[in-house]
Amino acid sequence: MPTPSTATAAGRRRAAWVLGALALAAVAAVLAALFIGSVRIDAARLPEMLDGTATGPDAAIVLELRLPRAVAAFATGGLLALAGTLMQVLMRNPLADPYVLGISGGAAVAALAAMLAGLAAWTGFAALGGALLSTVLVFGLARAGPGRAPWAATRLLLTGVVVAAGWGALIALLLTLAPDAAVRGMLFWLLGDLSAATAGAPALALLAATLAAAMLIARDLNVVTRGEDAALALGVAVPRVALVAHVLAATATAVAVAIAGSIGFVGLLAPHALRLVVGNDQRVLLPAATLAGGTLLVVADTLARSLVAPLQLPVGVITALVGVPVFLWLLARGGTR
Amino acid sequence: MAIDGRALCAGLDVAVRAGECWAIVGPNGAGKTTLLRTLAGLRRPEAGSVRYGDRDVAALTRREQAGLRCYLAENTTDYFPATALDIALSGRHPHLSRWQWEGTDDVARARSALAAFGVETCAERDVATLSGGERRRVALAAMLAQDAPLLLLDEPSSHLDLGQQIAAFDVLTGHARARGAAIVMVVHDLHLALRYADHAIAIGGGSARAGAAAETLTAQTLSALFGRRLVAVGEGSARTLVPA
Repeated sequence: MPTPSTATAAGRRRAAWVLGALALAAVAAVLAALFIGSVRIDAARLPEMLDGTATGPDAAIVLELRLPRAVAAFATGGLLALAGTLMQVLMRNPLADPYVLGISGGAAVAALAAMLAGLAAWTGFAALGGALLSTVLVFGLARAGPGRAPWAATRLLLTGVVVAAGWGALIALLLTLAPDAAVRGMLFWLLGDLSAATAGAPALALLAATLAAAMLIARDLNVVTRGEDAALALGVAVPRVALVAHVLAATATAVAVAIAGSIGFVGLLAPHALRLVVGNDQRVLLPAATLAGGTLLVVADTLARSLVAPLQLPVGVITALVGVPVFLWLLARGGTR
Repeated sequence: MAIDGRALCAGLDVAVRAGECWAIVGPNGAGKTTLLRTLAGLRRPEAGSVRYGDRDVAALTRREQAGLRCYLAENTTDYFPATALDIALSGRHPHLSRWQWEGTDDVARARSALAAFGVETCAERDVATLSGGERRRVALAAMLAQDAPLLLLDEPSSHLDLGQQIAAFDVLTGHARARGAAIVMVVHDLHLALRYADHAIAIGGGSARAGAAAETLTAQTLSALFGRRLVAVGEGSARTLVPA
């Protein structure tokens, strides 16, 4: 397979087709999520439901349960994929993912602590705070070294990995100290769970804003993938672009974790798979990965609540069960490096 | 100019004019790359200044710098898959406004730059599948596509075979002549320095000496610089200095 590139007319047509197909898939996945479940929905009533004129239990199920959950899933998946794409460029490492800077660890410790303290309603806010705190901590520690480039990728990566290990130990400690009744809820949160997600609409707005901001620096990021010196020599103010991208990625991840807990593989897999299809032009890859990540999570969440209904699986289990073989297959066919 | 408190070259005063070709020669660790990076505005000099025309390079934005000079690093790494055409097109980055995509003119310039170095047939291939010499020529093509009036090149001939070295230098000096651009390059091969440079900076032992190539690239100066007696061999364009 030739290396996809947007430098040629054929490559640009291909990118446009892929973006169009992904947008259609996103709409299809959300519609499917509205219809799939224990209560059957009459498709003919959907237009009435969506414009708010329909009443009845089926309308309530669609508008108050399935639609908000599907929107939250799409926003979370999109945020994770967007953050993953940015992180991979910034770390110049295709194995970087949204959680690489210890973001989910900090969020998890804060969220679990909130649950233990009986503040379950504040879990989302605690997670957001923990994620941002962990990000600031990692950047602060990475910058503290004498005379080093503040955004040196390897240094950040190592700091993030070590801080994440520290959060891991704290998570284990909290789980050990927690009463048995609370452990199930805590484990569900750790594995990623959208059943209580409510903040879909604001998250979707944030996703759109983050994507728009990332698109502003997309061509700069293309040059950054070629190395810091090369990017500086080509006229990119690397420290400023890196700061913007890091802030966008950290915010996106923090919000995603606050909504749904830590869901693995979406942020790693979506940019990877799309890079093989459309190439590494961030102007195409950022929106493509965002659409794909959102769609993937809507599908995974629909499966999570319907596969063994009425039992609900944590959606993070589905993404990992799908993500592991797909990722290994991508590695085996030599499409990554 | 100093690194880790060790002075690499002090009191160097050089004026590079349009159309000139300068070679920077010296032993390993003398500070050739550091000097080139300083000239490119990628690091600040400890004392003194680098000026493009009448403006201090530190006062220019990165984008303005990129319009005035290109910089080829000694080694380039490709972290993600990219085609040769993608790499050559990256030279057009400083010429495009924020929302602008590379147009047909940019693609044509990138393709003709690849063709100038004989790698146009690799345009749609992933650079990771190319040989070291082909990758170097793709990186040189990006310099040509950037079309800056000052070319700063760190060992442009590395990985190139003997024939390709001459072909690449002919293209670079021909481009500079046609465009009225200046070249400043780090070279290890004294034959290439003698053949193409009209001026040279000999750097080593904490000091640097600059001037016309005929006065700087002499057997006497370079013998002292490399700590080994060098003798001239060959005639005309084949003239070089080799260890005795």
